[in-house]
Parts: sequence; C-alpha cells; structure tokens
Amino acid sequence: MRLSLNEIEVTVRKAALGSGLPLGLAEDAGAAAAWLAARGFPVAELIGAALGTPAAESRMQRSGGMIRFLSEEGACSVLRVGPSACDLALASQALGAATAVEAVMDVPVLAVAQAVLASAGSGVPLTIATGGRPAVEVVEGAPTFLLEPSALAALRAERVRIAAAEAPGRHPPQSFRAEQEAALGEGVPVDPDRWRSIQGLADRMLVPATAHSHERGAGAGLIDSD
Amino acid sequence: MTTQRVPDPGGAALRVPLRPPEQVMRLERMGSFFPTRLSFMPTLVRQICAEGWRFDRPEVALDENGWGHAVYRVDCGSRRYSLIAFSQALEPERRTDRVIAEAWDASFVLFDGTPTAEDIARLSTAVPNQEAARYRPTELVLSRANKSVRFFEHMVERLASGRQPDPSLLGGVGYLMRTTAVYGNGKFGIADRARIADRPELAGPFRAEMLTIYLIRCFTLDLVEHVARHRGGSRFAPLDRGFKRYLGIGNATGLGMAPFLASHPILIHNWMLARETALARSRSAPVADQGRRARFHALLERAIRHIGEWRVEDARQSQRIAVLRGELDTLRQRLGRGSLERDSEMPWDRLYRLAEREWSVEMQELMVSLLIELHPERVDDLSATMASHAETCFAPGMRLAELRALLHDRYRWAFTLDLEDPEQRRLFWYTSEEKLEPRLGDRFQEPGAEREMPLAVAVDAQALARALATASDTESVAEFLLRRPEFRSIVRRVQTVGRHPYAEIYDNLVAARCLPIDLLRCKLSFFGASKFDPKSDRWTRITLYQGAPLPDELDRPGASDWCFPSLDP
Repeated sequence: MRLSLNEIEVTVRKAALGSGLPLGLAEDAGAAAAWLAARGFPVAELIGAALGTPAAESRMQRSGGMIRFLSEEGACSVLRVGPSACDLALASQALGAATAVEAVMDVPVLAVAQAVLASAGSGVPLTIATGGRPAVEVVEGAPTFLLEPSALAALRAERVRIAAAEAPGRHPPQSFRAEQEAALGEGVPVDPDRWRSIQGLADRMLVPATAHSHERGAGAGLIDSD
Repeated sequence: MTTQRVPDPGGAALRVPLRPPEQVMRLERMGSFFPTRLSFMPTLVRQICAEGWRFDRPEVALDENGWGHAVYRVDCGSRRYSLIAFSQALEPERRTDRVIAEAWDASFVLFDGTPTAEDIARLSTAVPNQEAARYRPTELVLSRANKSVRFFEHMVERLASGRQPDPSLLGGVGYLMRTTAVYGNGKFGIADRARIADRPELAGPFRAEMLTIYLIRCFTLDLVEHVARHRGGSRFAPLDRGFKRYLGIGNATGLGMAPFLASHPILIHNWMLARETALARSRSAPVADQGRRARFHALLERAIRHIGEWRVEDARQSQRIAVLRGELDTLRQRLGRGSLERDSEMPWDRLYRLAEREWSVEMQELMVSLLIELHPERVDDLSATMASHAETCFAPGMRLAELRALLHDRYRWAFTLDLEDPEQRRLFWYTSEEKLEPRLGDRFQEPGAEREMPLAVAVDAQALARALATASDTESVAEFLLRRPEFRSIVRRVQTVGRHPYAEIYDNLVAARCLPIDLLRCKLSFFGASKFDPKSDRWTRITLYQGAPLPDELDRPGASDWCFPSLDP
C-alpha cells in the first residue's frame, strides 16, 4: 500500500486527535510523520507505536540548566512531550538561558522530526542525544545524523536530550534526496495493517450522518438534471 | 492596527495605503469579490500565451454517443501534461452535483507526461470511480463532471441539423458540463503538491487544477461537436467560434471548499495581500491619460454587459445584482458627464473612494477588479507572490505579555462577540463519516460537536485570553504551552496572524448567521470564477473560463484579454 505525504500528514493529525491529543500537538504529529515518511522512515510503524502508548501522565523537574520530564509509567509519550521539549530548548536560547530538556521518550526518532521542524526558521541550532550519545544536530531545519537513521528509528523507550547547540554543523547535513524523490515519485509504502489501525483512530473524528445532516448538512438536495 | 504602505513596482512608496484587514477580511466583503487579473485562471492563460504552450489531442476513442476516452496534451516546452477524459452513459437518476454521487457523465485525470496504453487501461478502471479508487503520483489532478443535460442535448440537436444554439439558452447556462470536484495534492494517492511545486509552469497556487479545468473545457466543446457530427452527418454545422469561446465550465461547489480559507492562513494572507497591494498600486496611479481613460470606459462597458447577463434564482444575490446594475448605470452616467477627465489628481483613487462612499460592497469590489485590470504593468508581478510554502509561524520564546498584546490587537473583533449567546456558537463544522467531506451541524440539535473542526477561532481566542489573564507577563510561550497544551494551535495561529495580518477572517464562522457561501465566493474569485449562482447558503454554481481564448486562439494578439465575458462582446 502506498500513500502520498499529504495523506500521511492529514491522517496522522486526525489519528492523534482521535487518540485524545490536543489540536496543536496533533498538528505537530502530522507534520513529523510526513517529514519522516519523506525520508524513508517506517512511518506507520513509528506512528503506530507512538499512538499505541497509553497516555501516561508526566511531570516536569527543573535542576539548574536542565529540565526533565518524568513519567510514573516508564517512557513519556513523544507526541505529548516532544514539542514542548523543543519549545523549551528554543525558548531558553532565545531568552538567554540555555536549557537542555531530557526525557525517556517512547519513540525517540519522532523527537528528531519534531526538532527539525521546530528549528526551521528559528535560527537556533539544536542537538539531540539518545542514550547519552550525540545522535543528531539540526541547523535551520537541516539534520545531520551522527547515528544511523535506521538505528535511531529502532529505538524505543530511550532517554532523549534536546538542547540548543553552541557550535554544531561540523558535518554536512543529510539531504535524503533519494528518499524524498522516491516518496514523491512512487508514494510512501506502508504496512496495510498498521495503517488500518492509524486510520481507525482518525475515523474517531468522523461524525455519522443523521436525517438532519442529509437534509441540511451540505446544503444541497437537488438532482441536477437540468 | 496600522494600515500597510508598500512600494509600487518602481520602488516608490504608494500614495494610497492598503485597505486594512479589518475592512477586507469580513465575510460580507469576501462574499462580494469578483475575479481579478491576479486570479489563477487569467494568470495561467497569460502564461500560456506568453510562453507559447502547444495543445494537441493525440488520442480520441469516442463512439457515436461520445462514450469512450480522449487524451488532450499540452506541451509547455520543458514538460508535457495530458488530460485523460473518460465519458460514459449515465442514468438520469444517478446524475447529481452533490459530492455524494458515485457516477458521472465524464471523469478526468491530469497525467504527468504522455500516458502509455497501459496507463490509460489502468486509469480507465480507476478514474470513473473517482474517490473509490487509488492512484499513483504520475496522476496530478482528479476530477469529474456532469452534463447540463437539456443544454447539451439542445446544442447537439441544433448543430446536428446545421443550426446554431439559441443564444438566450446559451447565455442562461454558459457551459456544457459542470465539474463537481477537482482533487489535487495527494488525495487518493495522486501526486503531492511538492512533486510539482518547483516546476515554473505549475508554480502558482492551484495551477495544475486550473490547467485541468481548461483542458476539460476543451473536451466538452469537442464532445458536443463529436456527438452532433455523428447524429447529423452531412447536415452538421460546427459551433460558432464566438459561442464556443463564450462557453466555459460549470462547477458546483459546496462546503468542502469552505474550511480551506481558515486552515491555510499564510496562503490566504498572500492571496489577499497581493490583491490589496494591486488595488493600492492602481489607486496610486497619479494621472489618467487618454488611453487609460478609454480603456476604463471599455472595461466598464464589458462589465455592464457581463453583469447584465448574470441571472440567478437566489433572492439575496438577485437583489444584489439589481443594485449593482443600477450603480453601474450611475457610474456610466457620471463618467459620461466627464467626471473622470476633471479628476486630474489620482483619478482612480477618487473613483474607488466614490464607490466606497456611495455604493454597495458588491460594487466596491467590482471597482477593485476594474482598477486592477486597468493597470497590468503595476500589478502583474504580484501573481508570483501568491504561493506559500509555510502554513504557520511559531515563536516559543515570545513572552506572554507580547502574546497577550498581539491577541488583543489582532483579535479585537473576536472580543466584541458575546459567546454566551447560543446563536454565536450554534454551528459546528465536522467531517462526515459518510463522504469524508466537511459539513455544518447545529451544535444544540445534532450529535458530533465534540469532534468539530477547528474553525471556532473566536471561541478559541476568547478562551486563550482568559487563560493568559492569570499567567505571568514574563513567562514564555513555551512554558505556558507546557502547562496548557490545549492552546498550542490557537497560539500558533495568533503568532501567524501577527506576521500575516490578512491571514484571519474577522468574523465568527460558527455563528448562526454565518453564510458559508461567502467563503466559497471569496476562494472561487481567486480561482477566476464568475457568474456566482448560489443554490443555498451552503453551495453555489459558478462558471470557469467563460470567454477564455480557445487553444487555437492563444497566439493571437490580445488573447489574454478576456475579463468580464459576455455573449455580445
């Protein structure tokens, strides 16, 4: 089964809404999914894993220049804490108090996509570390993977640290040109069963028809044989 | 809010400011827009003419009833695109313009390149099923259309017997087929917009869709002659060229299109900013020389004939058209008395201000289109500014004091609404399970409001203001959203509107008195649609490419001058 990037973004956004995420986070989830899909990552598997995580409560702990998200039930949902982690790292740099944000996240590579999208246009470089090792540097939305992308995609429930960077960019960013051309030229392959699960969550946002909606919902009722 | 002053093409500051968003971005005004020369269809036609695109029809496989398929190809120089049109028999009871239809007289796909026989075979089983099938990225746009049955048959009967159609019928309908949907950007597996966005020939907004509709028009004109030729044999007469040029493509548009304006804020800002900048540049022209005055008189006469042929059944629009005709007549009388000649200083600004002072909103917006049309050298460069690659802006480092000030400045209109009044919240927009299309429901009478689409912007803005009221001025947006993630989307929207003032509609889209038809007309005017024919407050018929040059006329001088078409040009 092959999908367009737009189908992936829209469906993941709706699936995130259907799973209970607020709209803004759902929008970020859709954008991150499309970004990963365009670069050859197994998007249905990643999003399925992220949306399949129970919505565990997380709390925040500050310590000096570090903010930690902690969850009583193990990993934090990257779809919930990832955008805020990126926000805080970017905001702290903008406000002159560089802060690193750390959490054990259920699907770490989604945090990479979130960081890439968040950094675009901000002018603030970001670094992402996983399991204590530098993993990705991001400058103006262009990522340099210091770990194999496939290895990053395989990580689950791993410690992720996001911080504004002092002087990244020592390595050229990956263009993912071949993967992007394949996505736009052939569509994105997804596992049908996994995608069906995501679609099922998206379908929770649909409203069933009623007699009133048939009569009035779209505002038309004509047979147009004139 | 301060109005914007922008430079004219020469770089000098304009003498007339842009109309402010508070004036422009109101539903009543947006629902009075007419197409301008910056609209996407005239822009495409100008590009086709300027670059000498070539059209041919490499394959026609239609039987005597016009059923089968045909391929229309356009060569843009660097690339080719092909419209594959499929035509089939359709029982009258299955013919409906509503999106819930499952079969159509004709279906279309714009193909990237020249299709092979295998492509056509594959698409012949998919395209007639439209949304029920899956497509590949070689397919760029998907569409379908129904015949205007009585008019199509009238036309066939007349041409088959060597006669021309009844002009009054031709003027009343104006098209042979109506499209009921035009899908692009990744729907059902077709190409993402990103695949074609960097191609110069398809770089403008909805450019591939506009090209598709132009080619569909070519197909409908050929189809009616094809059927008539088979029926009439030696008695057949081809359709008069003037009549042929007058025929456009109909379209039935409903709620599916309406949320677009709210969900693409930066794109809408770019469209509006280009239009308002074009108006300000036109109003700023210091003098009106004799040639320009003569051109204005000619355009005005065209507009008068065009509006004279605009007939609808809808009571509200009929009344507006009647008023507009009277105002056009008054304008003609005043110009006849030489008022334009006497206004030596910034005459076009005076004319616009006269409209704003004395005439209806519909007349004011018609004046906008006339003035923009009058100054191609001052406005045409703006068409290149109307696309957008970004959807929103977001600044997590912004202090809440700044966010609060921005909210209260840009959303002042929202704070004037009494949202305790149920009528201000009565509607909710949702996606229907049945057809996956936007619909409008009554929040207090129908189920599903908890799944509403995010178009209750005024409600969200007021809720954000309440939350910000108890937050610290020095807190950052990032910290605030960590505590209150439910406001992430509206914060992003407020910040986006802060940088893009025409990005927001300054009206409540969930109020009982909201008329979605106004949203539709605004968007369709940017496409270049004319003859708005509302069928309810939620859907409208329109005409596309009426008066546009035919493919074999595109290299003629003046071919791209086709605004305000009429049957008797």
